[in-house]
Amino acid sequence: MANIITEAREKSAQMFIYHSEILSKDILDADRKLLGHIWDISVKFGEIYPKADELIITKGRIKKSYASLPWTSVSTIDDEVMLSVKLQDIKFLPLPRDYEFLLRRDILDQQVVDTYNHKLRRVNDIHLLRVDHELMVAHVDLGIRGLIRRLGWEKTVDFLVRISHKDSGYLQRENLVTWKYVQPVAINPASMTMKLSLSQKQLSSIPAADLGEIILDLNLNQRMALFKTLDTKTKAKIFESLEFEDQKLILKELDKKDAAQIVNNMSSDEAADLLEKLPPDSAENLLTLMESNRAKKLSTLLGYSSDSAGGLMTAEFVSLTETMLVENAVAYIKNQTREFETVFYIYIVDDKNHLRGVTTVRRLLFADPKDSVMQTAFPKTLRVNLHNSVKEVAYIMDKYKIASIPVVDENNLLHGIITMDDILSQVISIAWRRKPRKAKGL
Amino acid sequence: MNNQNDLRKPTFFKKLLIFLAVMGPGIITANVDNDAGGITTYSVAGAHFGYSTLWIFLPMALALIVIQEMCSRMGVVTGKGLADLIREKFGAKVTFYAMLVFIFSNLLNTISEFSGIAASGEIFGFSRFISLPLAAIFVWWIVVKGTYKSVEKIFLVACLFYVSYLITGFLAHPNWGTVLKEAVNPSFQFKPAFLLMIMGIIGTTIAPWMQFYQQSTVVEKGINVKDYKYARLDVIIGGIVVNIVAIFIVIACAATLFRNGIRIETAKDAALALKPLAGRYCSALFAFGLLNASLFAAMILPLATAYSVCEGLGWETGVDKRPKEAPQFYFLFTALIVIGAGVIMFPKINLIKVMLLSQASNAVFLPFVLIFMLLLINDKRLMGNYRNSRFFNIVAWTTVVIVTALTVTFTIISLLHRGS
Repeated sequence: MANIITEAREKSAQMFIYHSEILSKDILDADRKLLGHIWDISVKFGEIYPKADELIITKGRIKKSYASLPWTSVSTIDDEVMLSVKLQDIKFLPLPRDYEFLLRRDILDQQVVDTYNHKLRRVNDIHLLRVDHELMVAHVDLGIRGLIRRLGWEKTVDFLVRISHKDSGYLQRENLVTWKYVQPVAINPASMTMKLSLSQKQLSSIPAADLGEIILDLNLNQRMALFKTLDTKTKAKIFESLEFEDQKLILKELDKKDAAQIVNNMSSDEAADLLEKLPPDSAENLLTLMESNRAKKLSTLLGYSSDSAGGLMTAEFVSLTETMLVENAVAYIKNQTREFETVFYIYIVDDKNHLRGVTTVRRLLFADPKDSVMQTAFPKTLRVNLHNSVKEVAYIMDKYKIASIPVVDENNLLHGIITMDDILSQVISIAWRRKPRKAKGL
Repeated sequence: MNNQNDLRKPTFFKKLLIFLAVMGPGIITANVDNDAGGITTYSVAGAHFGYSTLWIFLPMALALIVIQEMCSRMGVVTGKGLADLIREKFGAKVTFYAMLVFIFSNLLNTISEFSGIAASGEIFGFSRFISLPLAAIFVWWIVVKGTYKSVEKIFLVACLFYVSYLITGFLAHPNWGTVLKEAVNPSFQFKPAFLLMIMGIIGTTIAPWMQFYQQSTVVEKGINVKDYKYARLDVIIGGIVVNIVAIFIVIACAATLFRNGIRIETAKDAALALKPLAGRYCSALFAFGLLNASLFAAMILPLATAYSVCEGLGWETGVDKRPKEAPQFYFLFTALIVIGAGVIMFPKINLIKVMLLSQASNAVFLPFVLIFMLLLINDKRLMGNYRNSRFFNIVAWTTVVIVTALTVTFTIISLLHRGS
């Protein structure tokens, strides 16, 4: 794992310090008078690692008071934290100020998205880096050892493990994740937004299905705040991976325009599936806000029953006219910018959009550039009718071992294609007699 | 024209549909509360003191509703379980030790549920060496193989079986006039035994696991803030229903055992003693109710424990995860069931002591949980406008102080009493 620190701990100990260690230290002023304890540390984002900005200290047991000091007034951190200011120059207030981002409040013990392992995790400790007079958040500790350190048992447990299993992985492994891969999910209650860390870019690199699961594990406010930071394409992909119930929950919270944007970017079969399950008036609402071409396509898809070929098919596929030359066809395919479910299979139609044949990219690449595309077509054109059932479609695809099949009507007009993954999810749900993904819960 | 009105104001039918969708956590949590320990306590109360403890159930329903409503509200507003919130606000140390106590107290509770299963099995003539392994496997299988929705449906059906106690109450032919009078008319006997009984009733009715379990299920269900009023109704109905069932248990025992001066120690004694006095069916129904309640609670307690502990300590949790993905969750859940059923296999174990000990551990833990809850629910950053109002805070703190004082005193006295 890339996020594990393997250097000798002793050497790094001088530079690295755990948050739990700092918290337990006394704070002394320039005259070595005891000031109190650390309440929290506020950090500033912007550079790679968040930097300590202010030290917030508290004194008093029953009537507590708080003071913030700029981090520059910390002179040394040894057995105690020494400050360069004097007690009489520090102003204590009865309540802490409203800070933007605090280590203990917003990271420690909170959940964060680990964008490296694609999981939502709880932070047991924070690993801080000391460079000159600065303190930076370097890693978060997600491991069991961090938890034991927090309980104050690290030395005892280390000792016990050492005498029983000398080479135990427990002693060598630290479950540290570098800040680059950490996205905190703490919400600022005033603005309802999430502080974005560097790993925001990493977020969209998480596979949509995993990201969907992470999002479902968050509470509603965090979910919406995180969701809003993503780009429309990622949002659409996440939507495709969610069950209808979860889609509905998120749709409710989005404004109509954003919702339409997302549905607009989903693949047409998934979009049609979603629209079909929504109440007719909300589906209608979304359709009117969408690109008109797309809306038209979707409304036709909506007309087919969901367990027929028409309901399963997607309207995104590559088609070529039969008279086109192979060289032009290859250039045409290269220039396609839209995302298709498959570009491997190419469908050949006449000028009235009747299905004439099927070819593949491979056949085109190896054909004579001056041939017409029709010459590269398979000798037999497999197809299914709009009204064929899921089972019939699955049977044909299995029999001929093909990954996608065109869907035509009675007049042989090409309407869409069905790909293997559409069939697979249907077949799995029939085989399991329930939804393929188990519902979350107790 | 009518259509537009419908959009603005939901019809009764629409409201009912929303309620049915939201319903569950409150009613289930409250009903599980009538578990083996609860039924035992209520039977003893009826057999030893007749109808004179009936009045306590009205204020108790109120206290239960006040406390459970706060959990429900926190779950809906924050979308997080109680253990999550405790970890996030009070830190790792507090959470860890709280969870340690929680595991211990719930283990004792689970043992007492399995003792209820063994006892009711024996009434029907099944050896505990058959009924316990079967029950353990059944409980484990239902939860591990189920989804939230399927498990909730099973639980709601189990709630319906509590009707058996209502029937038992009628079959015992009580004097309804006296029942009514005693229910609204607080009567107090200044005898230590009576005071102990009152405290015991409260102590078994408000238990810490209920707060954790209810909040987790509210979160799992993903109830929207907009539907919160329906979730509150769910809690209120639960609080009322559970007390009605408890009242009927007291009535059944009061009308038969108390009138004939029969003294009992356990729910099993009660079921057996009912046979000559109220008939075979009455006795069988009573035992069936005990079996249902114990099974039901034996399912929920290990589950609630595993959920809260893994939530609080940051481990993967949920029955939708495979054992490899959530090892701690499955380990805890399985261990509680295995130990719970296993301990009861030893005939030497004194079940009354186990029940008492489980109540004691509940009582020690409860004040902490209630104080955590009150601090959390008044946190502005967390709850925003859904914090307690000043009036509600007064009611809640009073409830907390009274419940805590009563449970703790009860436990101390009864431990001393039994110990001597």
